[in-house]
Amino acid sequence: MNISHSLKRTGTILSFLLPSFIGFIIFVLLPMIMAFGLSFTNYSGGPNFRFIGMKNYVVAFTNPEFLKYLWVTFKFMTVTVVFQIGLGLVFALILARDFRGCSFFRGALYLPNILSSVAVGLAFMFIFEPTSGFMNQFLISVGLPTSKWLASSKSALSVIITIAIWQNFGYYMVLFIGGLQNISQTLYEAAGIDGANKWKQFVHVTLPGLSPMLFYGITIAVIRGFQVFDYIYIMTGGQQGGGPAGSTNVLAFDIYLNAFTYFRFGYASAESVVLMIIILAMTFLQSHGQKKWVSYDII
Amino acid sequence: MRTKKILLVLTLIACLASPVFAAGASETKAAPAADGPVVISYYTWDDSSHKALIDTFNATHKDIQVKAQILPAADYETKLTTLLSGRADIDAFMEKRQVDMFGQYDNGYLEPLDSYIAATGKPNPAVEAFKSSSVINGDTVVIPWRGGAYYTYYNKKVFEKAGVPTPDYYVKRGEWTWKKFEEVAKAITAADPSLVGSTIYIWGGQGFFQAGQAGDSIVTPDGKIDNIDNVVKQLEMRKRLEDVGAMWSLVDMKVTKLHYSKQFYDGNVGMLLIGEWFPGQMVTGRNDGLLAYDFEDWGITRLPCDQSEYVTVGLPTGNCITSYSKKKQAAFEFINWMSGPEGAAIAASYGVLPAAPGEAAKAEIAKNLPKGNSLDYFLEEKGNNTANFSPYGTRVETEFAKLQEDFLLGNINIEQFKTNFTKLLNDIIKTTY
Repeated sequence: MNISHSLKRTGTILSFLLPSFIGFIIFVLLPMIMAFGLSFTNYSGGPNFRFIGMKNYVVAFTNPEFLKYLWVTFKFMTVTVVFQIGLGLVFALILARDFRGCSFFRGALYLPNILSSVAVGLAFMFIFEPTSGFMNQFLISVGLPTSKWLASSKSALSVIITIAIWQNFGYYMVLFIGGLQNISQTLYEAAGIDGANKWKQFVHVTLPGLSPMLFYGITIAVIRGFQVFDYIYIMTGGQQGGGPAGSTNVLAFDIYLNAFTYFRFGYASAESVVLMIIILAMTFLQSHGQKKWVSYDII
Repeated sequence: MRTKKILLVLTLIACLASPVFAAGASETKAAPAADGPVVISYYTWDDSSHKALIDTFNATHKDIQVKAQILPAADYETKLTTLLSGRADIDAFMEKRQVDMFGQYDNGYLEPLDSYIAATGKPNPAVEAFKSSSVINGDTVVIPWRGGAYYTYYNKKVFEKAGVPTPDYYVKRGEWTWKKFEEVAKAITAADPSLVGSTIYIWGGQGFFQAGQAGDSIVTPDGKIDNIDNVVKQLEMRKRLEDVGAMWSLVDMKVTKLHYSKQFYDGNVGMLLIGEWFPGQMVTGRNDGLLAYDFEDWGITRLPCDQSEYVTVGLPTGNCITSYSKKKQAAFEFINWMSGPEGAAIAASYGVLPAAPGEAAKAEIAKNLPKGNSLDYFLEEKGNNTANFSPYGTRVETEFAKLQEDFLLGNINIEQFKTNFTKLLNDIIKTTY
């Protein structure tokens, strides 16, 4: 009876898991295995390819352009993570409290996150149009010097980073508001009785209480930062090689160019594997490091 | 036990994967119906002239019917490659980016067409007209349908406003050189700073006009760097023109996605150097009410040229047959018809320059061009060179475009450009394997 019940239960669990598991295998595991395999070949989209060992990896790491794209990716990731998490936290602290209009502000700040990156990219492309765009018109109207924005290799990446931060920090804000609302008020009362001022309460109660959410938020932001592609593709040149002068080319964009413009699928796969390893390593480091700063038992 | 588990997982993966890979293969097994016409599957992009050609062919041929598979023009090349690698049901297809033929040929996707052409009993005029860009390793792999040639398109009103003679004046006198082009573009903008003397679009290949005319390959098909002096010469000219506002800024065009047709429609650009398809866009502009001037107020003449004998540049657009097609003869008959006199006449009625225009096509083209000498220049016999037609072509163009922007933005000087470009070409040659 017990065995039969246990088998039935296992069967039910498996039947619920199977669709996702099949999806995972077809759409995640298999492409990963195939990309890894292809990274050791000169595959160009046809049957005539051969095993070339580590050549794609050697070519990538001896190519200054690849290292430059890696550096641009790191810059994008670092700045967006710092500001998205920072702004998310600041606005969460302000909007976690109940006051008249707080729902409106929460909604307004979260709204950009539900918009398509493509639509946002196109809209900002017009705002930052280098000759007669809204931003330059505004600067002229207040007597400030104009900029070439997306048309300059010096400012294009900063513009894209700013837009990415604007669109995404609301997501982290909502996440942190949820975390803040879960911190027990009694902890603040106890800290107050012990003579802790607001800053000390923030450092010793809020931050530890919020640390699981912060950990999750940073992890997601880092992964998203490394994977950025859509803004670059839409706002700075698409299939024409990104730009200007390759200044906004991140690794994901170079993978796209090599795979779908040059049809160097083998090399692009090697770049993808490198990107995956970097993301895995960062996630592992964060996961390993969380023991030192994430508290799951304070709430 | 552990090995068994691993084997079990691998077997499961293999079982799950097999239908995915089998799906592509099963499509190719579809045999033609025993009765009725042979139906061929033909891939192309969303262009009104392509649709008209297919419809006319189907209406006039009882034994062969073309089932059109229309893909969006954007990313057509990517989708086509994916379909070919999955051995999708494709009998014939239109090649959008000609240099992609090298990779497709290497992968064995393209059917050599020489025996089919020989069976017709006469050489194919379209192939003969564009032999150098239709043949790979001695095999004819494409039948050109649309001709490839760049011209100077000019706006008569802009020239009138600036008080400068139109380019055809200089062509008649044999003076339409790149130096004269620069001079004229600057004169237009100097006369009225709201006018832009000229436009050369953002595509990397547009930087190789002078090199192409001189017969330089940039990188030869067998992997050697050719002369790059003419690339440098054109780039320096572009910078001089951009600096005084006599050419539309390349970087601005790119980031604002400002299309060359829009610039020309708006009536502020004096000259546009673009390909043979542009009259079709002008017809569309007229029909859609987008022109800021009268249809008769523009003209076509030769591309500026420094060579002793006039030569333009451009690659034709053509059709290929897949090596795995089960209906190759029917597919050949369709693509051969498309590049023949009937297909050419239909193409011409859409403002397209056919690869081999017959008399009927010429009459149709005349209807879509402004009066005057434009038709003569559009159809004149001329040399046509194809710079950068090699397996390295796409990478050379895209990577050149980046370096070109670096120079135009003032990040590097011309000597650094030369050094970096040579290094880049070497890298491309070394890493194409």
